[in-house]
Amino acid sequence: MAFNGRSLLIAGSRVLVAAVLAIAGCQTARVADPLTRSMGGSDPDQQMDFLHTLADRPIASNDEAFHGLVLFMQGNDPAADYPARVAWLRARNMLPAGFAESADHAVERGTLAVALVRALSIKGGLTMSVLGPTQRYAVRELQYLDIYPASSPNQTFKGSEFLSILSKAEEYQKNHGTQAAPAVPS
Amino acid sequence: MPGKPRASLPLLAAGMAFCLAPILAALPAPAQPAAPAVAPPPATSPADGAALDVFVTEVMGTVQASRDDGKSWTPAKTGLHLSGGASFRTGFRSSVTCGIAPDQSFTLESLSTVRVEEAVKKGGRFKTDLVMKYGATNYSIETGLEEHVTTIRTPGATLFVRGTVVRVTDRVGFAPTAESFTGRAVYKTAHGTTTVGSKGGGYARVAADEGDAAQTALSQTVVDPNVALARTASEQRLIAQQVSLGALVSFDYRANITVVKDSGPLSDAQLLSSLPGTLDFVLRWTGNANLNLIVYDQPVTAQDIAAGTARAPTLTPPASGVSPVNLGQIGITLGFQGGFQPKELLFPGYGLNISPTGGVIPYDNRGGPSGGMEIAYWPGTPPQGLFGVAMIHQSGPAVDYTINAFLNGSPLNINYSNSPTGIPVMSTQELKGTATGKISDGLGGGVVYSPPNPYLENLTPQGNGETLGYVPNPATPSAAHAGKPAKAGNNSKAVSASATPLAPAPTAMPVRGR
Repeated sequence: MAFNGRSLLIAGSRVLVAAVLAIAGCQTARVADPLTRSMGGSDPDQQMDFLHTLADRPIASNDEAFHGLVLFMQGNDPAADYPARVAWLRARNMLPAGFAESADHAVERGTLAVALVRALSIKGGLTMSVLGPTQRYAVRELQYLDIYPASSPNQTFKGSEFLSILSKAEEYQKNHGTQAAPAVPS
Repeated sequence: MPGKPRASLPLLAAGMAFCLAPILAALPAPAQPAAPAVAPPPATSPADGAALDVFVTEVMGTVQASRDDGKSWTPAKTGLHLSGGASFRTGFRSSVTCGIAPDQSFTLESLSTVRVEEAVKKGGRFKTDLVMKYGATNYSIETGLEEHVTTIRTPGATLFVRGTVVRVTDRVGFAPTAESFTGRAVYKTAHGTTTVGSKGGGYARVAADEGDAAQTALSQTVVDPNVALARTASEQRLIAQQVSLGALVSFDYRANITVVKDSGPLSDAQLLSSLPGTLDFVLRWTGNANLNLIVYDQPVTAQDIAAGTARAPTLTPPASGVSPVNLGQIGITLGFQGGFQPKELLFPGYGLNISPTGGVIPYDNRGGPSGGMEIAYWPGTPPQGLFGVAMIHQSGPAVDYTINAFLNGSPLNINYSNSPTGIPVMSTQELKGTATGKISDGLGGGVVYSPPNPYLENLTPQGNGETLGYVPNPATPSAAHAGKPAKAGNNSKAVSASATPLAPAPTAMPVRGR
């Protein structure tokens, strides 16, 4: 069997297509039209629309999750956009080290877990006390406290799951009296 | 006569009470389960076929209502009247309580949404259908009025309610749950159909992934964290028995003992069929207080037997025809060896719940609305001698209590006094009192001979088991007395089954007053 230039070109293009598909398949899901664009405000009606519309969405994005988290913590969201929300959370050490995801990426459970253990002032066990709230141990701690279902840090959320977790976090707050949002470290 | 009233036991008991009081005072009080609010029913019952009025009675936080199946939402306010087809949704830290005429109410908790699919009176029955998309809802019916058929549906389960107070949760990612605070409901999930709660029963909870209430309750009990704390089969059975009474079980790492709350006491009949040991001491109480059982003992030694044997012929009447152990008990009781000097103590927690001779208090019952029960027992062969049994009122209001002792399932006599001087000593198979928590009231309790001592017990008059300060109050019968009488034991005095509440504990409990 002889190899000519055409057959090599076809084989090469097939490999390229397979590689592109493989890479695309491994990418984090993206939310085309985050709710924060139309319902990102803090007034009660917008909050209600945001929360209960999010419950019907198949995936929650970073921006949506962070907006919901800030609303949960302090009742209103002072940030006007995603970079401002990230800055607000980062100022309170509520994001994992090296977090640099875009607004429309589906939020990962590990990312939200780190923010929640900070928001709820959860100290965790020995490992979390020593290493701090890494994504892996924050998720495990929240699972232990029945705030998270059985999860992996890299999993994402349905909108309704995100709302369930905020409900569970609220129950935890009721039982443990951690109402205030974490202060900005001086 | 060598036997004189002795103060060693009351002094020991009072001393223990004072020593343990600071420790016990630090123990947490049991939490009270909260029942959902019930809306006041209207004065008249709706006509048959009429749609029922759905009215908002209380709003907390941000709540919206919709009359058009969620197409438009308006703020829900107290006094808002709706009907079947209405929907509600809540925000963070919000809730809405609605009444459904004439006698139903539901409370939607935060981050939840529910639609009142149907609320009508049909064929003389009130039919209500609530569809909760996600979240948590409390629902209650005022029982004893009219017949209800209520369904609460969620994506993961359906609860059928006829006359009870329930709470349903269905949050995506978590197993749906149904809780019954009173009464019985039928819960249908993908795993099948089960009941939650019972008519006239207490709290019960079913998680959809557990199948039924018993499995859910058992899975909520604590698995001991290491081998040293591992339970025997009989201890596990006792814990499960408490759970079956609706108890919440946890583990107190400071006191190092399993903690039971909200179980209530067993009836006499239930108790007799489930005694775990060869020798058992049982404290039961009614009312929402935390009582603790204390048992201490002095096994008979060869010296006690020798002393009793030497003095037996000189007693009036002479102690003849009794066993060597009985002679040893006589030796201890009448002070030939220095009186009752307990060698070991059983107390719920702090390492004292297991004694060197094998005695066990498997759990610390911290009470609940219907009272509680603690048990100390020796499996296998228990020590032979004198046993002191007493209770300490740890916290809560004054409550009635009873103390029983059993050897091989037969009641043992408890020797006690209902006089501040400790004289006379009387004998009963069920000691009754009211625990007030006042130090001046001392410990409620008495002394038990195991094996029974016919010589000493024949000299002790039978009392009615009522200790100091006994005040009859038939309006509040003791649940501990509500069961059948215990079977007769080693003498003719059967366990009392009277429905009388009890009195303060004695300040002094002399071993013998002759």
